[in-house]
Amino acid sequence: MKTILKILLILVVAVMIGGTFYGAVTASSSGTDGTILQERPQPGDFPLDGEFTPPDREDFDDGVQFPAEMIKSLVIMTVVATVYLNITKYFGRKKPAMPTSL
Amino acid sequence: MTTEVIKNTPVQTKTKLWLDVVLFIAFLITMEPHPSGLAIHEWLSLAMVLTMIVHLLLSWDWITEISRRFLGKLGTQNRINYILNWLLFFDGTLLIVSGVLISEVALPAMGIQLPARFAWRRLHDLSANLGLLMLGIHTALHWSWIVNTVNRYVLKPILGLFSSKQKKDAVI
Repeated sequence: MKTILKILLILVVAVMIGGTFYGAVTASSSGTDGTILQERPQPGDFPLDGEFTPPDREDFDDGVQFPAEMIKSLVIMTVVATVYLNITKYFGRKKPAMPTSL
Repeated sequence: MTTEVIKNTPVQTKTKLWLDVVLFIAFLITMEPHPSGLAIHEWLSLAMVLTMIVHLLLSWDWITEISRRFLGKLGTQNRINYILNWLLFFDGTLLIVSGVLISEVALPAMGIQLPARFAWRRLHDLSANLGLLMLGIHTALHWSWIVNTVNRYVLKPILGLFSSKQKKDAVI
């Protein structure tokens, strides 16, 4: 019973957050001319950004490919974790104790 | 860290470890939908929601304890960890909501069709990238727990198997 209540609480909080996001995005779309957030962009809409591809099904291959992208994500996470650990280590390092007498 | 405040039972710790390993691998797979395909990306993400709920349930005591003590006396690590976990929760919720709203496989398979909105795709990408960075810090914050738990529940039992075999061989 307690577990069900906990799950319900998690879901309620998630729905509240999700609802807020949804409301914010919907409000911002209706605040403008209403087309920016509604339309899917066309292939030539972002000529300066070469990486953009429209969200078509053609982007996704059926088969499983070499997991280069997963390794990229893993490397990014490792770099972030290493940087964070080193920063905390650097700032958490205790200053050398001063001699009490000469 | 988690262990500074709450002591879990060995069964809870082991469950947490394997659940986190599965979540971590699933996150890496879902992070890039191109290699795995859109169907795997969407269904695996939906399955991850359930796994995340179990992950939160297993850390429930820590969450309630830190929530209670947050405004009082609390270590910096725990405070950072708590704030980061909330940010991860916000980010994860945005990731799921935006993912559901731009779904092209899972929701249509359930007979639900939603109007396409490009803003949700951009928010989905943004929250996924933010999630990747935050998960890196989340992992760093729990690094000592990961190392200790893997040592205790994975490496030591495996090494113990080898050493007991060697002892048996020596007796024979």
